[in-house]
Amino acid sequence: MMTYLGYALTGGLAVAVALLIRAVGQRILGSKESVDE
Amino acid sequence: MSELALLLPVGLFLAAAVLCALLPRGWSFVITLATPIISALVALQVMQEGQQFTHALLDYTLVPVAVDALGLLMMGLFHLAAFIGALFIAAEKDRLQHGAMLAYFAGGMGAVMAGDWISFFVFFEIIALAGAGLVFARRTEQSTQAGVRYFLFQVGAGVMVLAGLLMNGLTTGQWLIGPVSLSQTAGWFLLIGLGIKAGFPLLHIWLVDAYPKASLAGLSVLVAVTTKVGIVALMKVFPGEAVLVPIGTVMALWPIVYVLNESDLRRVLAYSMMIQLGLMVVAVGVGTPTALDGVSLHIAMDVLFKMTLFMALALVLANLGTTHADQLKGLGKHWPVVAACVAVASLANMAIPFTGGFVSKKLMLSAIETSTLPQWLYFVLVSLSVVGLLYAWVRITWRVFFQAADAHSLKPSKDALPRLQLLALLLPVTLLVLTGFVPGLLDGLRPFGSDTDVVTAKKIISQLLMLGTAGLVYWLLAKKGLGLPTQRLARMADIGVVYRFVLTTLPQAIAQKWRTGVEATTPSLIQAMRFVAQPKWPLQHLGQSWPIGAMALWVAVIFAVLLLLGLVNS
Repeated sequence: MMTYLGYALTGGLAVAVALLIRAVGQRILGSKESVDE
Repeated sequence: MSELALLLPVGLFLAAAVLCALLPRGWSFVITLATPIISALVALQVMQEGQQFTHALLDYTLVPVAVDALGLLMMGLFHLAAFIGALFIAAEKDRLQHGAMLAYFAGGMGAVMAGDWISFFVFFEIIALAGAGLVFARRTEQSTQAGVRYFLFQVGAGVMVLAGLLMNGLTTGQWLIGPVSLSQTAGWFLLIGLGIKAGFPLLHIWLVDAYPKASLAGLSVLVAVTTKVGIVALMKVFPGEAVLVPIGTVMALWPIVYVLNESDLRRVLAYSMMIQLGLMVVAVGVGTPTALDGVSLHIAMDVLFKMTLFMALALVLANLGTTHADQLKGLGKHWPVVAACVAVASLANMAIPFTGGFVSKKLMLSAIETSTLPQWLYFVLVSLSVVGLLYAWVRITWRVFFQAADAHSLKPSKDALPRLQLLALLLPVTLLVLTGFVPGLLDGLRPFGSDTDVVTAKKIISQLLMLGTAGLVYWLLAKKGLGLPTQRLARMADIGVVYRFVLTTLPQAIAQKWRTGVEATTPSLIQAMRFVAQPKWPLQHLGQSWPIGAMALWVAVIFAVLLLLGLVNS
């Protein structure tokens, strides 16, 4: 049971962390110029 | 059967590539489609595990083909990928794409079957050359520039491998491919060379630069060979090498920020390759039979689902002229078959149970879980499937194909998609589902003979719980406006910025500074140099460019005079 709970928590936490990394990364690494093909 | 026959599959692909270049355009499709079928039939007849083709060259004994279980699995995979690619580019009349694709697979097959380093190096370079051809074939300025950068990186990888194999061969006398220790300098050269090919972090920029800009053939098949050959070589040379664990971990985590922010979905997919490859590198670092079997099977599954996703985006690009996420919505209504294929490939990409991706990824993760590595690392790597849920499912599958179109969305033409291209999408997807529901099919393909069972109720429920909770949490966050952005964001900076600074901006600045400094301190010298470089009198006969023959004649005359002087002096 604990194992299953661990996986469920991992899933929820991973989404939150990934979205946080996305936002912070975009702020730091997002450039002004956009290179399109 | 002669040992020479073991070279037939590679030879057939190379001969077919030459034929594509020589015969009229209409023949390309027939040749490209027939070659993998004929070659596969030949390979099934002539290749058996344990066979070798050896050839004496000067003081060396080359082993261009050494058949082992891993090589056979890769041969099968490359034949399948070549066939899928051939179906997908059937309507293309471009001989360069057909020829380069066949040569690309020839290089890949040669590299995974090579038994000695020198043969491996030759095939390694064929991959580089043909891969660059697949990028050049797009024939735009950007693709040409990206192709040159791709080629330079691949040549750089080749030079590192060459240096490593020569050092290793000359110091140990070992020219056959096998484990090399990192206690030798040669080991580090080989690691960096193979690491460039595999897409190690900091050395990965060619991958995300060239793949999205490749031609139609390049988009469909580039995912199948270059990086996979790098991983296969790492499995042969550095199994269980501890340094691969941190490298692979960084490699798997590095792209997260890009796959969730990049607007161009081709770049998203290129970055996402690094996540899967990083996981494979960690598993190679673990090095147990289960880990290596997991890597071998995951190479195959990764090729199947990534080819499907790239081909789907190639269709989108060909029909709508863009793969930017903010302009694409509701395509599933127009293209239901493509949408279904993308959905299955995305599910396999995030290792949902009952897809082949689940079996292979769980084999790697199971090996990592039972290794001596810390548990937190296992959970970090397990949760990468959640990242897959976000970029592959939410960004590509849901938004592009299933979410209702709005006023800004582009609409595809009403022409039906070519049936062969749809078949190219359906083939890998069928295999992903088949191997997911009948995982026993993959057991016989494990090259390292492990018997770990990963399709258990516990693992299936765990994975479903993790992804289900992740989906629920994302849905709740998205409702509060905290989900992934829908508008186009500015391009993200990557390590390429550093390369550009070190290789172009910095040298230019130094050269400018030096010129200014020298001109200020030694004006007379500069004046003298300018005087010599730009004579003020009209250029007569001596100032014109001379034919090479005349130059050679004068060099010979000078040497003759020197010889005479030498004779006189003696």
